[in-house]
Amino acid sequence: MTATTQPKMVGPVLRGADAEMAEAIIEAIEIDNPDREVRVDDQRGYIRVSCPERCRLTRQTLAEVLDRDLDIAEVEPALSAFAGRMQMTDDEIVWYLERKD
Amino acid sequence: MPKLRRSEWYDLARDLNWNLSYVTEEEAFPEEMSNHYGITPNERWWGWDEPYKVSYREYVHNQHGKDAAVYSVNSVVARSRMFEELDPGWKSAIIAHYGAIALPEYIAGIGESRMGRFGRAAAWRNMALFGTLDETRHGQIQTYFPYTLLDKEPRMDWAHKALHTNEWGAIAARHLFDDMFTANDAVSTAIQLTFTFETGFTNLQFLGMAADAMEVGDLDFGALISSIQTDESRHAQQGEPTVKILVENGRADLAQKLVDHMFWRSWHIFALLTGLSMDYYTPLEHRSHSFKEFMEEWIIKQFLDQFRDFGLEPSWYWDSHFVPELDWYHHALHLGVWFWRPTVWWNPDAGVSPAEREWLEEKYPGWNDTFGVYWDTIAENIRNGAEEKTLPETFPIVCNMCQIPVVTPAGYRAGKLDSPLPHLLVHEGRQYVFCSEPCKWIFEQNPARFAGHTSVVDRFLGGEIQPPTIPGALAWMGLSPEEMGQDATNYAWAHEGREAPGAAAS
Repeated sequence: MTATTQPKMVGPVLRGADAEMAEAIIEAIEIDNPDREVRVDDQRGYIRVSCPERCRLTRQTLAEVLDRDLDIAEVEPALSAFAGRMQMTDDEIVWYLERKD
Repeated sequence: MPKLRRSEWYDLARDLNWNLSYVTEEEAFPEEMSNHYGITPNERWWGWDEPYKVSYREYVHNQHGKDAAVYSVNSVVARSRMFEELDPGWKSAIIAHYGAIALPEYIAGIGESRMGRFGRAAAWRNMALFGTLDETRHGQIQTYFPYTLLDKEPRMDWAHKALHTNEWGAIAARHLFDDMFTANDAVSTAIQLTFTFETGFTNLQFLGMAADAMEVGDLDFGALISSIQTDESRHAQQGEPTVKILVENGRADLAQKLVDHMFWRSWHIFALLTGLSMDYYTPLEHRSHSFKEFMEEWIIKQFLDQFRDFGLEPSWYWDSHFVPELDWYHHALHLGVWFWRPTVWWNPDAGVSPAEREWLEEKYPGWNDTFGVYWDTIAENIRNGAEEKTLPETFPIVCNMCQIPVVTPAGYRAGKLDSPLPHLLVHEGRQYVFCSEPCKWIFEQNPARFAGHTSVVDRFLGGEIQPPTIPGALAWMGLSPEEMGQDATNYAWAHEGREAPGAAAS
């Protein structure tokens, strides 16, 4: 097994059936990851959103985009899967990978 | 009313761990239910911390919303003509799905509830409780949706029926799921069910097929399975902290072995279910990707990155057996399932019209030379009115591990195997047959676990199936003549482009 030299992409795979939440999460991720490329691959049934190595989504930005208060747990019904590992706190979700090789 | 932030109370409410004094640890956590694998006493598990958190209040709120959304799609669609207008091959894919998946979801609930009682940390038991409720939801919703389609398609009944029969695919599914969750200890269930099967493979069927469903216009199915997956991606996170504890306590070898075992078994069952659905049953114009492309996206990239990040490595058979099978295994299974079509509860769609063959050749270079030639002969027989030559008179050999027919000759012909022969093993006087080296290896790791099981062919030859004929076996499998699979399009594909049969062949 040879390691790839390309950066590994991580981030949420959103449920395509909930367009409003999916679009808001994509917009929030673009705001929350200003120094990273954000790729969006829309397969209709699911939407893969990814950044190289680390991808952050904050409650505050998502609330601003949606223009309403929300708990980070409300992301769950839109989150079908994710690439990388995930860490969730009250204020953010971070997808990441640690291994470098 | 001021509300505490979740993190201010969550750990306190969750971590109900204590040292036992009225009973021994072994009494409260018996080995068959909760093997500690040398990591004892229980305090050593108490650092178990799930990366994806939910409180009970949030859980109920979310699940209510998920169900309300999905059931409202179902009730709208039920009043439309959507189902009648779906492609026959696609209908076969969802009939196969419900039969193979709906009841096993309930069974997965048994595995989750075992972790909910015998997981060695309170945090783990808490997550597994949500997992139990999730799987109950998946069982209910995936028996209810097909139930609403019964008046349009009686074989939707197999959503409930399949696992209670001796149909060969149902035996294969039961054998796998008993190994993975019904008869598994809590630690192994966390690694094999939640980590390997759910983090890795279920995405293929539940999201890959959701992408195809939206293309096909089957909103009902697309909304359903993608919603289910939002539960899976949460409770699948019981895998990571369990792997972590094993690795921290010097048992990475065990985690690796459990993954190696279940990765291979999962691959074979999904090749059978998802492989055929994506590359043959989904109408050509609506295929978003090939099965191999979905495997590359979800398994070879996404899942491999995840398990390598925990310090695990690709299984010993990755390059030598797994990657080569991506090019031929499900094509061989498709040929077999179509030929033995009376033995399945759905109508296999041959999916080999001239345009479809061109697509297969493009996605799997060499397909025409290796698999197309079989279909040339089958098509010719159909055109000559010799349907009987395209139907079985005997049974195939079945693998004593995955319980799926042995298709090694096709792998040999495709240039991917050194020999067309199956792998044999004599264990305590009985000969076992395997489709692949990894299936044999899994058996050899724990022969006592698997040795007593008889495959459908063992039972046939052992006289359990009477009369010992094809009709006798079909009745034994629970298939009435009305339920037996037939070609999904009544052989339309064999007549298409008839003037130039095999035109796409190189």
